[in-house]
Amino acid sequence: MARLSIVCIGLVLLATVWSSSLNIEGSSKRVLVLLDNLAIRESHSYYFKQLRDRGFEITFRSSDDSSLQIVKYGEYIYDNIILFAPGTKEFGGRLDAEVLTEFIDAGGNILIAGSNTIGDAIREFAGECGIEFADDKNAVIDHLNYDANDDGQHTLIVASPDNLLTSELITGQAKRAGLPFLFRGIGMSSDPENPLLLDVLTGSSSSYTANPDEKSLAEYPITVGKRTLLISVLQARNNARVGFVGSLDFFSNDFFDSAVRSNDGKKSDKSGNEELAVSLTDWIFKQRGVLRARNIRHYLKKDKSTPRFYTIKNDLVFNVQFDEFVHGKWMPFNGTDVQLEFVRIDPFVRATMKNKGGQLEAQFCVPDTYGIYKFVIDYNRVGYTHLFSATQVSVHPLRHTEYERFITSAFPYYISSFSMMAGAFLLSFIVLYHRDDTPKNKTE
Amino acid sequence: MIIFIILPILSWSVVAANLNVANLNGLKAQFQTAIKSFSDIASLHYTLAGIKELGVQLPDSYCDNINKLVDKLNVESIYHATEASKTLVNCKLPVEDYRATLTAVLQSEDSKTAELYFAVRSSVILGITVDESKIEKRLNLLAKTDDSVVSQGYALLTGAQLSQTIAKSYADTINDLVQQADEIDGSILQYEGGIGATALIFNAFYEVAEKAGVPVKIDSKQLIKFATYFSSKRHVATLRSAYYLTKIFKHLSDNKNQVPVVVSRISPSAISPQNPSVLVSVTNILGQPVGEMSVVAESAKRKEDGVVVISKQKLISKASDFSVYELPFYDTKIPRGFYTIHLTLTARNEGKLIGLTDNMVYRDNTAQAKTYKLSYPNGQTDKLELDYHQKLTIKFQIKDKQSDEFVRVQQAFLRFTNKKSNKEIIYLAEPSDGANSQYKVEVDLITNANDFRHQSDTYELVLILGDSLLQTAYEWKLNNNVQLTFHEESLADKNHQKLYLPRPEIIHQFREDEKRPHNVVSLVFSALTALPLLVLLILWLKIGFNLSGLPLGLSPLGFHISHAAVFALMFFYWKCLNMFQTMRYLALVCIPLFLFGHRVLATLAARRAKKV
Repeated sequence: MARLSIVCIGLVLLATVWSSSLNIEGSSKRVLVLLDNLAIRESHSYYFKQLRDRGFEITFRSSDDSSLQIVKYGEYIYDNIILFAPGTKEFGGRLDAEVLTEFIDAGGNILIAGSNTIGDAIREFAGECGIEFADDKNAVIDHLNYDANDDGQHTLIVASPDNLLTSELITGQAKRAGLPFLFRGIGMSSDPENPLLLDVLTGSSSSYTANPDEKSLAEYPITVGKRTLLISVLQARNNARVGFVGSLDFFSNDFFDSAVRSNDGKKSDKSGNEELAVSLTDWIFKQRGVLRARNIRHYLKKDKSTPRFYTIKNDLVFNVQFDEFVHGKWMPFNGTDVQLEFVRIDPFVRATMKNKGGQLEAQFCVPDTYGIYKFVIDYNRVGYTHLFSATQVSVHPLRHTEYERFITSAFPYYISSFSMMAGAFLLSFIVLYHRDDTPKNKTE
Repeated sequence: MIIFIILPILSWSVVAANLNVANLNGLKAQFQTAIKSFSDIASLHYTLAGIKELGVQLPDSYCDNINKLVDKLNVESIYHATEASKTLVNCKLPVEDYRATLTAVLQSEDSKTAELYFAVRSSVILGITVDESKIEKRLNLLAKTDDSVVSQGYALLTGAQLSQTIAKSYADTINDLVQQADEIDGSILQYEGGIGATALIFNAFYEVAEKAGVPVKIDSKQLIKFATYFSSKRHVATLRSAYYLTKIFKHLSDNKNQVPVVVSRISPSAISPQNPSVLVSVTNILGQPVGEMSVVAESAKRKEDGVVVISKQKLISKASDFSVYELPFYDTKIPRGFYTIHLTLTARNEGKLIGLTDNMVYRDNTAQAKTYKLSYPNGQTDKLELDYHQKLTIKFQIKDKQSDEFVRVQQAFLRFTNKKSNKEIIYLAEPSDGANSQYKVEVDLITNANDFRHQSDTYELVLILGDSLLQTAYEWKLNNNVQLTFHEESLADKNHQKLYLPRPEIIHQFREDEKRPHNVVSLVFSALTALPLLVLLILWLKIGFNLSGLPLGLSPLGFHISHAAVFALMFFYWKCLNMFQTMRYLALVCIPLFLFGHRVLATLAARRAKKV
């Protein structure tokens, strides 16, 4: 009976540990969408249709729904959250900034859209991620780049693809297509000390964030010029991804379909919003840019055997298989800038690995310093999940029998020894058997 | 005349600030260095005249230098030559050589104020008569076309060369000119163009007033500000400035004029039992005494809490020429701290003395304030260079074309873009109150250096004006080539992108092998070591040997085979065997070696015994 209870407790513990982390590898597609009002579901239907086509299971909830919860029986019931609820001051049910932060810590992904008002819960959560939204009623203003449909306040701005982050993983084909983006919303500034934040889209150098109804600027605007962030993303250390977009309208059907007519006369039949919105969502919800490493092998070059330890100056080969998650499948990774480090406190060797169809290989000679080493792969590139792998091996000095022999410079010593032996051998005959004739003669 | 002077004092440690007495030694040294070699007539003039002002009469031998360096066709050169000759006792220049050039300049309709002054002054020195009314008319005409302060200064100087009535009319304009001076930090006055221009104009005030026989009409407060400016110039770059400065110091200490009084602390800054009192010197700007004064310490205030420890205490004159006054200060009752002592000076005689406040900390604008005027959409094409002690000030107004009114906009940004890193630094222009709403941005390269992260580089300067009520916003490129130079080392931009880049490869550096002799050397020595065996064999053959004592039988054969086997074992030990294998084989070989060896020796011994 006692044994059974222990097993039960063990199972319960296992279940808790299991539930506290999410599958972060892109294969789970449960999305919770929180909306200020359900009308957004209609006005942004193109965007949601795109998500459904990509296989996401979408649950729409009103942000002030009192039965709102993301954890059920100690388990997260969603993998991704879309917060299209900038106006919500406080979420209903058991959802607040702290719960959202825990969700990120567990590996979940969140996409947040803002508008010219932003609720305290979202502000607080953004603060946790190092993003500061401008005050309510402020908007990004650009008197030099606004769309013809603007209402006169120059807040419907045309963002140039030149100010877009160069990373196809995050922004898809949006940069290459070169279509301008429509944006109406709030600007953000990011914590310059936070290395995990990436500026995806910034305003032009004439943009700024201010209250458009004010006559003149009372103080220095929260963001000016290219430091006006329109879209930014964060990839946490556990590879959870968070996206911040200053404009809810950015995802709207209107903006997806609208032609862009900039005030400087540039025209474009379609905005780049759809491409960027969908690519960005794909990336945030880990449908792209997810890496894994497997089949780590290392062996001696000469006989392909893996010894218990390596000896200094051995030539060795290190092998690893990298896979990338592309469109729901694991495909061989084809990056050529993966580096292998051989580390004993400091890296002794850092070599770029050759990629043969996802099979990465590096060869090098073990350093002539013995100790405990690690093979370290620390692959951190924009758009990819951070991949860190360490394998420990020990490196021994030479055994007494393994030193070099038959050294040419030592030949005089060898030859003198052996010539002495030969001399001793010959001398033994003379000493023993030689008979002098002369004394015989004398006696005779 | 009452003067208020403020001396800050540190209690047991004092003091002082004070306006400096002019650095006459520095000026003198500058002239004396210059006198050793002359490159042009202008520096000859300034040096000779300057050194004469300082009371040194130079020999007439310099007359030759004047004649050598003068250019007879250049009016400026003639002016310098005549001025220089005037400083020497007996140096006459050939009047006729210059008459043509001078007359041409005086007659010409194109000559500038400066040239006119040069011509008039030269003519006066050389004794050539000039048509005064014509020159006056010409000056009035020029005043309308060129209203720069330097030009006005030259006009005054020219006026001083003409008759007293004309000079008097010019002397009346001094006050207008004084009003045009720029005030800096509320403590100094100077003209655009720095020390050179300011000294020239200020000197002109005195020359024209002297000719007109009237006192210089400058408010004493303004005069002090000018004097502060001049006395702060401890070192000047050009001989010209040095010359004018010398003249100004002479004027400022001339008792005919208002004389600024310099009060400075000469005792150490700390008051202690060894230095119980504060000593102040009261002099004119040249450091000469100004006569008897009654000097009263109105109060001594502690800096931290404003406690007054001394009031209305008269200072005692310490020197017979009334240049040094003493205030006993050390007293155990006075708590320690920094003190500021207010002094009131009252002149006994009827000198025209005015106070000169203590030296102020202010930025040296020797590099001259330059002003450029631009109108949209033109930019400035020249390279603009700014260094760390300069300020960039941009003022502008925005006018509505239809209503002709000045308007205000929401966005008025001044943007610097680093041309290399494309980093932007944006400043807001602030509008002034009032109808004309003038916008102003001030970028001080010291206080704003952090915004630029001290990166000395080329920047693009753009003014952005935008408002929802403006039909079009403006992005006005003011200057494409602004070179900013900061004092400190530049700080690198924070860039987290580096985290995402491949790191440089590391190839391990192995320890180098020990050095070994060349193979040939090793082989030669190997051959040499084999040589003794060879020599042994050759000598044996030569001497002859026999093996006649060899006993027949199995034992000698066995002995020598096992003996050879031991040596062979040694060879294999070297070649391939390890120590344990070798020991085993050696033990095996040793048994026959011992037995056979014993029998051979026994046989040989028995044979020898038999023989004996």
